[in-house]
Parts: sequence; C-alpha cells; structure tokens
Amino acid sequence: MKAAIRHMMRNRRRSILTLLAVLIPIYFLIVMFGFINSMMQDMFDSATRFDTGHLQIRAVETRATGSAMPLIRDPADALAALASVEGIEWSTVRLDLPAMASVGDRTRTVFVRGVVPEAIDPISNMAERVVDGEFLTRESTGVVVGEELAALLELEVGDEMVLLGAHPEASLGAMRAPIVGVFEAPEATIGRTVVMTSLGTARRLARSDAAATSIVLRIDGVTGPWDTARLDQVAAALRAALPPGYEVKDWLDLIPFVAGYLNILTPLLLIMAAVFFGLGALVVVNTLYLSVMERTREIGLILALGSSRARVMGMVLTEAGIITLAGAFYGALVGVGIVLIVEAFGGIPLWGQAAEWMKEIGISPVLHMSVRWTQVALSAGAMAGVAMLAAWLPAWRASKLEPMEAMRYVE
Amino acid sequence: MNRMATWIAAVAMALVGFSAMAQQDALDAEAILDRVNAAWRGDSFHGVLALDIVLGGQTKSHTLEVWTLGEELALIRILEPEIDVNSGYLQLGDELWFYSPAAGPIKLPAMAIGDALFGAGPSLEDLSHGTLSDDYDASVVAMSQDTDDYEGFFLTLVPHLDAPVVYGKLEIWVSADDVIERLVYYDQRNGVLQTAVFSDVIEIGGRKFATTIVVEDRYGDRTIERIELAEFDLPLEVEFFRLETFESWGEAE
Amino acid sequence: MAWRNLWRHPQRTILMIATVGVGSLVILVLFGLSDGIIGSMTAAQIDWNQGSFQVRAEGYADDPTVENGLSSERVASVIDGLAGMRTAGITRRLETIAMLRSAYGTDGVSLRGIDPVAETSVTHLDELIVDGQYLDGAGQILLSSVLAEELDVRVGERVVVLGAGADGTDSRAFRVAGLFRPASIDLEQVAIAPIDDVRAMTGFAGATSIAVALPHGASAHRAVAEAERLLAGLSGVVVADYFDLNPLARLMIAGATLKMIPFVLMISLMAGFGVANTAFYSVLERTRELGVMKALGLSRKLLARMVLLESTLVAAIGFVVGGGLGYGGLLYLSRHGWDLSFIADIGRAVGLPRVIYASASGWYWVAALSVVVITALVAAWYPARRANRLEPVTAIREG
Repeated sequence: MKAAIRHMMRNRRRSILTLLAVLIPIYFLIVMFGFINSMMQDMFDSATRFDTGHLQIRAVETRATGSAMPLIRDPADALAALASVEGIEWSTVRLDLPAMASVGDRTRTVFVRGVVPEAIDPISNMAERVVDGEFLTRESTGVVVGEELAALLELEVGDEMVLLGAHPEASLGAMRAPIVGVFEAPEATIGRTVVMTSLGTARRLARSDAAATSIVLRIDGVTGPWDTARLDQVAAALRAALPPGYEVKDWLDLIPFVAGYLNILTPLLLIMAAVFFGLGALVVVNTLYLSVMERTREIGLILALGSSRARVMGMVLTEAGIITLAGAFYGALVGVGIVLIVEAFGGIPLWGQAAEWMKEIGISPVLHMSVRWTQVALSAGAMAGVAMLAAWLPAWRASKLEPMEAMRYVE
Repeated sequence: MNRMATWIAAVAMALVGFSAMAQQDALDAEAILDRVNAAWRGDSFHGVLALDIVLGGQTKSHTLEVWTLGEELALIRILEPEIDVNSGYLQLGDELWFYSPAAGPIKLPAMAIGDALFGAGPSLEDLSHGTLSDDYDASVVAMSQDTDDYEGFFLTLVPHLDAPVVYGKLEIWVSADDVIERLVYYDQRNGVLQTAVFSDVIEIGGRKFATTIVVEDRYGDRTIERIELAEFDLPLEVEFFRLETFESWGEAE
Repeated sequence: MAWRNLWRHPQRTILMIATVGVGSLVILVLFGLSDGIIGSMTAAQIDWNQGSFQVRAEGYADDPTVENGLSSERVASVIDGLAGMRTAGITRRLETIAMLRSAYGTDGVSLRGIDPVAETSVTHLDELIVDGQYLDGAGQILLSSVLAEELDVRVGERVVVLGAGADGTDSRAFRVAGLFRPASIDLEQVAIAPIDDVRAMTGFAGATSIAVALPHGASAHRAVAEAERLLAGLSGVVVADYFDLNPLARLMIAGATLKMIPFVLMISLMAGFGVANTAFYSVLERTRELGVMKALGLSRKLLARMVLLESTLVAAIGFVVGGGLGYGGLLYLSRHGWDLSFIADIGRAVGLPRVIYASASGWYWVAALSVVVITALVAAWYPARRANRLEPVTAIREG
C-alpha cells in the first residue's frame, strides 16, 4: 500500500492524468444528466401542470362517445373517496365536452374545457397565453377562445357567441357567452377548437348541476417524471377507495408522447454512458499500463525477492484504486459543482429556432440543470467500477512478468 | 343509431324492391308493408310525443310537439321539462336550427340531423321524416304467415348494398290487421343491434298505429315513446316554419 | 520517424487508435441515426401521405374546409401549369371532415377522396393494404387498420359516412374494400374513397389539394420554386412545401442539430484527452532519447512537431478505422433499415415510423473530424509543449 502511494507521488503528473481519465467521464455524465433531467422535468411540468395533472379520475367508458369523454353525472362520491386517500396535494374538477359555437349563421364545432379558474390559475400556463382581454374568473360566464377561432368567427373581446353543448350523454344546453379573452395557442388546431369556460358555464352547456368529465389530481411528493413509485402507490389507494364506475389514469397514460420520449431516452442515456465509460476505461488501461511498464524492473526485483504474483497485482490495483476513488470523488464534485453554478446563474439561455420550439411546447427557453443524488452516485460508482475492471488487465500483465527478464528491462 | 319510429322508416323501405322470393309472395309482402305504411302517409302532420330516455340507469323525460310539412319542413317544440320550454329545432330543407329562448338561434351543421336530440334516443330525422325517408331501402327475403308462435306476418328484410345503413338484417312482425308489432335490427354479423316493440294500437280516421314504442339497444338503454296526439293532413302554413315562431311563443309566455 | 516511434509500443498505439476510433464511430452513428430518424419520419409523410409538395387554394391553410378548395377549373389550370415539370406523379384529392358510422360506433374521420389510379404514383397507397384490396370501383372505402379496430369494422362490411359539404349534408354507404397500415401517424384517422363519391357527397366538384411526388433524388426545394414559377400566373393558388404541410416539423428539425453539438464536443474531448495522455507519457518516457536528439541538434520546434505528428497520426488512423466502421454501419442501415417493431407502442407514441433508415452523409465525416482536430489540439497543448521544453542535458541525465 505504501509502495503504491510512493509510486504515485513520484509520478505525480501521470497519476493526475489517470485521475482525470476517471474524473472526466463522471463529470460529463453528471452534466448530461443535469441537462436531460431538467428538460424532462420541464416537459413533465408543462404537461402535468394543466392538461393532465399527475393522476386523473374518469368514468369508465361503457359505450362509444366519440370524441367526448364519458360523463360523470355527479362526482360527489368520487370526491368523497378522495378525502380518504393520503398524499393528494391538490385536486380540481373539470368538464370537457364538444359543443357548437355560433355567431350569426356561422357555426363551428369546438371543444369546451370547463375549469375552476382560481384553482388552476396558480399552476397552469393557460393564463399566461392570454394575449387580449383577460383569463376567466370564478363568476365569469364568459369564454376565452383561441386567436384562430376568434378570426374565423370574426370575434373580438366583448362580442358574444352562442354555445350549444353537444355531449352525447348529456342534454343540450345553450347559452350566450361573452368573449372575455383571446389566447395564443401552440398549435393552430388548438386555437381553432378549444374554448375555455368556467366549470359552471360548462355545466350549463351540459344541462347538469354536477356533471364532470374528470377530476385532476396532483400528488404530494411527485416532482418529476421518475417519481413513479409514489404515483403508483397513490393510484392504487385511489382505485381501492373509489366506487365502481371510475378509473384512474396517470399522466403516462394520458400523454403517451412524453411517456414514449422517456422510454426512449433511458436506453439512449445508457448508451451514451457506456460510450463515455468505455473511453474512460481505455484511457485508464492506457496509463496504468504505462505505469506498469515504468516499474518493470522494480516489479521484476520484487518477484525475484520472493513476492507473490498476487501481491504484485495487488500493488497495481491499489494504485489504480486510489486514483479511481479520488477521480470518482472529484468527478462527482466537479459535476455537481457545475450544476450548482449554472443554476446559481439562473440557467443557460437559449436562442434562435431551438428557443422558439421550446416556447411553443411550453418549455421556457432557458437550459437548466438538475441532478439527483442517485444519478451522481450511479455515475461515479459505475465509472469507478469500469475503471477498476479496466485496471485488471495491466495488473494481470504485471503479475505475469518473468522476474529475470523484467529486471533486465530497458526502455 | 335511429331509435325511434324507425318502424315508419322500415316500412318505407319495403316499397323499393324485392329479392329471391316468389313473385306472389313478394307482392304480398309489399302489400303488407304498404298497408302498414298507409297509416302514416300524409302531407302534413302534427303530434305530441312523450319520450322517456333511459340511459345507464337514469331516466330523462321530454315532451315534444312536432309539426311537419312535406319532406323539407319540420318544427319541433319542446314542452317539457320546464327548463327547455319553447326551445326546439327547425328544419328548413338542408338548413337546421336549434332555438333556445335564453340564447337565441344556433345554426347546426347539416350533419346534426342524424344526431340523437337528447344525447340518446331519436334523432331529428327520426322524428320528422321517418315516413318519407327513402334511405332505408331493402328487400324482403323471407316471409311467413300465421305460424305456431305468431298470428300475423313475419318478414325478413335485407338492405340494398348501397343503402346508407349499418345494419345487416331486419325482422318485422306485422299483426293480422296490418300493424307492426315488433322490429329487430341485426348487424352485419347476425348480432342484435336493437329491438323495437309496438303496443297500444289506436285508430284515428281510418289509420291504425301503435302509440307506445319501446326501443332497446344492446347496452340495455331504452327509449319509450308515447304518442299522445296525432293529426294528419291538417292545413299548415309554410310561414309557420320559421325561427320567428319560436320567438312568438317566448313572447306569449 | 514518428511512424516508427508509434510502433515501438504497439499495444499502446492500438489503444489510442481505439479511443479515437470509438469516438469517431459514435459521432458518425449519432448523426446518422438522428438524421435518419428525422428523415424516416419525413419520408413517411412524403411517401405515404402527403407527397413531396401540394398545391392548394389560398385560404385553405387557415381554414381547411371544402369551401376553401380549388374549383375544378382551377384544378385543371394547375395540372396544366405543372405539365412542364418532371414529376413522379400528380393527383387530385378532395378532403373533408366526416363522421364514419359502423354498427358499433361512430368516429370523426378525414374523408379523403382520391383518384385511385393517379394516387398510387404519388403515395403508393396500394402497397399499404394489409387486408382486403385496393379501391377498384365506386362506393368503396379504405380504412386504416387502427380505425377499423376501433369501430369494429371488417373488410366487406358496409359503413355509413356522413359528410358536410358546400351543398349540405349527405349520408352515404360505402363498402370497406380493404384496410391499410397507417405508415404515417396522420393516416390513422383517414378514410379513403374515390373522389367522385366524395364529390357527390359534398356537392363540390373541385379538389382541396393537388399532391405532387418528385422523382427519386430530386431536390424538393428546387421543385417547389419551379412550381411557384410555373403557377405564378394563377391567382389564389399556393404551393405548400413539407414545412407548410407540417408546421411543427420545422421546429423539431431545427432543434436537432443544435443538440448534437455538446455531444460531439464531449466525445471529442474525451478521445482527445485519451490520446494526449498517452502521448504525454511517451514524451516522458523518452525524455532521455529526446534529450539526445536535441543535443544532436534537433530543434525544439521539430521535436514538438514530431510529437504532434505522432498524436495526429494515431488520431487519423483511429478516425479512418472507427469512422469507416461507423459509416459502414450507417450505409447498411440506410439500405436495409432498422426494424423498430420491438418498441412499437413507444415508437407510435413518439411518432416514429416502424422502420427507420439511417442517413449516411459525407458531412458526418466532417463532424467526426472534429475528434481528430481536437485531439490534435489537445496533444499540441501539453505533450508537445513538454517535448519542446526539454533541456538536452537535463533530459539525458534524467532518463
């Protein structure tokens, strides 16, 4: 052990370089994790904030309802069940239904989303998208429509439209509603069809005092796309507590796109990690090999003096081990340090086309980083493991040296 | 799926064609259905219908007043429940309107004519133009009379290849005095889609027809229709069929 | 001499080559697959759904309804106008939103009226049939296998389509002639029927779009420009290219290349450090030898350059070998495709086609070259400098 340290110190530079070989992949990987985590987090946040929540309670579909979600006639029993389940941070009732929107003799088929405005306001980005007028308020009988729909029906804030609910399981409700706001939609189809109203208004369109199509929930402790354990736990509790006729869907079911992305990202990440680790391992083998070669005569001497081959291997491995550990430690430090520094500066702002795309799909165009301890530990541990594995080859070679030859070795 | 008064339509189909049947039988079948249909033939119609729609165990009741003139004009006024009073539908040829006293008129896309009015139950088309619809064209493929189980005629009909219907087969039971008693729709794989049962036959001015019709689909949902008033060939003005008519009712209240 | 130096320690050299090789290979494959995926998605849309570009009426993009379609006179003018272009096929389509009703359900679909013969030269629709057969007469309809499953419809059965058009509504029966595989995700909700039937239904005699397919290898960009030129005389007519037809695609594609840069940098740095590390040792090892050379008059600069050359040579070999392997792989995948059925559900969710073809472009070599460049730079940094700074006398003594 002491010999190993001595040797290391003698070749400080080389030791440091080997250390770097371990350190760099670790810190690169942590940085990569940092970016990807943050991106996935953003996508998750953006999707689950308003559209889907973490979980949704819906009625089981018993007959085909076309594009409309099955109607919950009165969610009181479901809401009661909610109260008995732990871990629900927040919940809100929504009623979404197809409807006709008409001005004069121009009628268009639209999709009405009835929400409780002050409940979703703190977390949704819908309110931010309003470019004209204002978002809904609790008492509002008004509606907020997309720019495209407003253009097609030639409407402005303050004009009125007639709405007729068209849910196949509900009675027809018709009413006049003033336009109180116009929102900018990420996609033209959304701008042409989505009409935001208060829950009360939507209920009037469905001619029911209590109807709903979903109860949207946010779960305590679910902060990112990988918190599936907690999610499943609460979902299971919910399923047990709910009366029959309801089903619980999680955000993965509701936005398959993000789920698909995640599923593809994990293996991709693993491949990238493998590449980096491979490269790092190559470098470790490289430099360790050099170190062995340098000490060929010395090793030969030790062997001739009666040391066991195992001891020689141990020597090399110890040296490798110390460097690896140091590299892992500093690698993690540097990696986490970079993440902390970037975040302290508020992230890296993006520009150009990429920034536009991100804004469209609801991610703010600033590149953040965030990393989880398990990922740090995993990166460091895995690289250290790979490095030690890589060290095996030179160590083995060293143990195989013929003492006589080795002692005579001249570079 | 049209659920109500489809027997009216079913009858119309019989007028259009025959298949591999003995010519004599074919003529008989046509004659039978023709006689059944005769009860509903007329230029104008005025009636009051009570609908109970049972959907998923819940029942919703509506009372409607219907006027039709020819094939192009129809007006439906909702009498019950209270909240819907004086709202209704207006069909002017290809134009379709919904009127609500609170919101005014909404022009509906023409496709809506086939949609169920109350989420489930009869569609506008069913209620107004069952008699004269020639959409349901089919051929009678079998007929029997006075069998052991039934006194009357039992007919099997198959729609024409290009008939815009999704069912594959129809079975009709017609009583000895030319009143449809039962109608079963099959899909294209011999499964039952829906069943209509007719009862409480009355006679008005020579026309005999059932005043209670119960239509049940494969989910167990039912529509119960009772005809509380029916008048035929009454003098109706074209001007009656306007949005202003709805407005006048609103004002009168 | 640099060459000889390298092969004095073959294992070490091979390791260095491997390092650079892996780096180059990874970069090539990354680019190739990433571009390949985008290319495959694009190709799926072009080959099976939209054609290379389309000609539509001016207001159609904002409000895609039959009312905003091209009149039959316009259609004729457009087809005449484009007669001078070299195309693989031109066809007319009439699309409208409709309700498709089966015995078991109803769903909104995009009803697409096609010219059955001309369509196959633009989108090869007939090759997508998985059940039943292609259209060969009036009153027939093709549904996607997804839609057929959703509505429980079988080949040979009758469905009813309710469509709204300029003249009102019509409900019409169609017989399901066949089912097709939705090669592009948009095709899942498309029902395809002969254009004459759809015209009769909607009462509209023209077309909502004219789709054009270009011959293999033709530049879409140039073709669109040419089409615009040819049709400049016609008012109210717009040529829509791939990005007009797929507005989100532009944003996605723009992001892709940018995302690659950090990866390329990181990989290059890794490989560069690996090589430089080793080169540095080799300098340290050969301190004495180098010192002798210097004493014998070899200039510092030359010495440094020799070290640099060694590193560069290694990088070059690694680049060629690794890049070659990577490129070979890409070429294979570009020809034979990579069947992604094993992640079918996930792939569908993200919009990936079933088979992706890698892209094998010369430009990727340039990207991979950055590995070499950076390696050279890093190598120039400390090993060569170190060699540079050797004092002959000290060197000889130390070694």
